[in-house]
Amino acid sequence: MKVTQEIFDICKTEVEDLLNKLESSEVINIATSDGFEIFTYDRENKNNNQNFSAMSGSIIALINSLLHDFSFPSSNLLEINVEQGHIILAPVTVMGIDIIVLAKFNHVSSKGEILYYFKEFIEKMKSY
Amino acid sequence: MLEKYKIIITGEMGAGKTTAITTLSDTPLVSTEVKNNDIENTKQSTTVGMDYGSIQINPHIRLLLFGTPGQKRFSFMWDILCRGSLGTIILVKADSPSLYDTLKYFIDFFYKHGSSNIIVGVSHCFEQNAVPVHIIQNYIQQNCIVKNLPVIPCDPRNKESMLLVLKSLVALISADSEV
Repeated sequence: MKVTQEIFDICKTEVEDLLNKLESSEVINIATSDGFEIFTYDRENKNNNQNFSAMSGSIIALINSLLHDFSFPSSNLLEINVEQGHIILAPVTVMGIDIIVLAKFNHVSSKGEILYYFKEFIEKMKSY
Repeated sequence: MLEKYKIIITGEMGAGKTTAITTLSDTPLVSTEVKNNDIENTKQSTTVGMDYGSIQINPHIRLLLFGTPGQKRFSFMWDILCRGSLGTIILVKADSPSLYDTLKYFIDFFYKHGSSNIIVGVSHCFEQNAVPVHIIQNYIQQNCIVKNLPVIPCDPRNKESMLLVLKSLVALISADSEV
């Protein structure tokens, strides 16, 4: 995997910052767009995070392919609402590496709060 | 009436799945390629979702071609894509260091997931360390869950070559449905 220690450290630092702001965070999985896991926070540690890494890459690639056929630019953020909470996927380029953030939040925080802090997190990741 | 057959093109990374669908399709390719980060493979890009194209091979049959990602970590996509398919082409590289493991893995997986019509397409046949097709055939007979699979050398960049593989698969599907 072409991911450096520096990128791993950025991911870890920014995820820890997000966790401090959003107590509803349950899973935050960061992976390359081709499915290599970089960093994962999993509150209950019961998930197959390697699967999440591969799936998030596939989902974003399929969505981008759909958007391309509609002549839209690539996706910024994909949000899935379920009874138990929210799942958010976002592609972001950090130091030249295309990565995808997949996050699962419960209902402890409001949707507005989640989106605000998640978008802030993505912008910070982009700024490196 | 126009019949549509769903065909899966699968196989290891770099075997030529995306190239084969690009070569064959008479409709624009749906592609989900991203930058490759695997240091063990020098490819620039890799499919992470699926490839899709289609080709009309005669006035009555249109083949819907679904290409899978090659890496095992994307096997959840293989599972999704092979639902409802009538046939599978497994592409392998004749010079791959993991040729035999790959063959066994893909044949077993797709057979167990309902693909009874399988053809093995062998690419990179003229490379220096290429394993001859008859040896690949023998290996399948002795080691795989299904024994008598057609094994056809092919060049994913060449339309005639890939059409031969596709038409052989259609013949296999037709023979199977007549039984």
